[in-house]
Amino acid sequence: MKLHEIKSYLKSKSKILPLHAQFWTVKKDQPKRVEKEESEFYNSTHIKIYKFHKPISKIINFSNAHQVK
Amino acid sequence: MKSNKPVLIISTSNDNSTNNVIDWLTYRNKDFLRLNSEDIIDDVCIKISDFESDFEFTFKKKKYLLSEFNSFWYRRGIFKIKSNSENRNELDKAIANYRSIQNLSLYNYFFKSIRSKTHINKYHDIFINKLDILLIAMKAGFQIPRSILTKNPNDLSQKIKVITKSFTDHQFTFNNEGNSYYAGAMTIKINDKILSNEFNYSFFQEMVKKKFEIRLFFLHDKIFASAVFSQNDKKTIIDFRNYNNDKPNRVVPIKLPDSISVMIKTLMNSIDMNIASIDIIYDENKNYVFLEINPVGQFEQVSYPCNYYLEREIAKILA
Repeated sequence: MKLHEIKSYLKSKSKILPLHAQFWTVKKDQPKRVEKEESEFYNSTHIKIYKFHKPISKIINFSNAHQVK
Repeated sequence: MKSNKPVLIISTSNDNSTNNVIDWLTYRNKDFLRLNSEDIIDDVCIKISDFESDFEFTFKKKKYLLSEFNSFWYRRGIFKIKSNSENRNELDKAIANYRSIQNLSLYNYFFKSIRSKTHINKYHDIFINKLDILLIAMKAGFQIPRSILTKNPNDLSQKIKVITKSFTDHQFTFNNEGNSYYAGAMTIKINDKILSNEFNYSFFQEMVKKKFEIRLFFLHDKIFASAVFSQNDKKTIIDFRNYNNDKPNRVVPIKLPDSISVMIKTLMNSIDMNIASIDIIYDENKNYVFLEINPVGQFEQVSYPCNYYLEREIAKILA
């Protein structure tokens, strides 16, 4: 189905859709970014011990950190 | 006391929060078994007697007993139980349907059995009813926005500004020719033009004028709260999840008043949940207005900007 056909079809179905479900976001499908090796590690099905360095927080936002009370 | 027994994690293969917690588990040399919603277990054997009760299953040719696990995290999704059902005709469909009902009993027993262990979340937590939660939040002492579910626009007062949003956690999705269509995740401000559309049962709430939004993460009686300054950006004023990536909202850690913390704990005890993301608005009249609970939501947007290391906290409980 083309985009305009989908929009038109959904419009015709508005009576059976809740109002919040009538606002659509369209995204182009992206290939998965996860590397195979990484995916195999995290979805490991065997119980194993992996030695790892200490994980770090991805964003260390010092401009905010001082506001902790 | 630290146990050598492994952790059982139920999740989906693409859930990054699970990966981040696994980083911390591996840092602590903790074994784990992750069952994703794509995974299939087999050879289920449930033993119930006065001398042994256990749930045995095989996964990738290895046998496991539920009693062998130290702790359990229900993150999201659900694994499959192997069935050799075919789908060639209507009779096959009826057989598959019957088997899936039988399997429900196995899933129920699985999740009930594991509740006696240290756990974070339960499978049944995903079925919370957002409308019922509003009532429970009020009983816990929270203010809530005036709310109405209707399919008749005349039921809405003309005098107050309202928003509409989903009253479930499910999005409507449709994949077609390389495009994905999503609907239902955002909060929408209502105007006369939108209201002139035909619509089915929809959930409306009074729009609360906010000073800032609070997104907090509740974990085993601890509250990790963040303030999201979303009110000055047109893109995020209605819903901060409508992220402005060019100029992100400022997010800072905050400590809530004790009275609000007590309300949150009362609410979570009432619904027997030990983990959730909770959204609250701090309004222009200095009230804390409860919006909703999400039992399986993402928590990075609280963890990272506030340096709460929530993934480490979860791993600590499980280890």
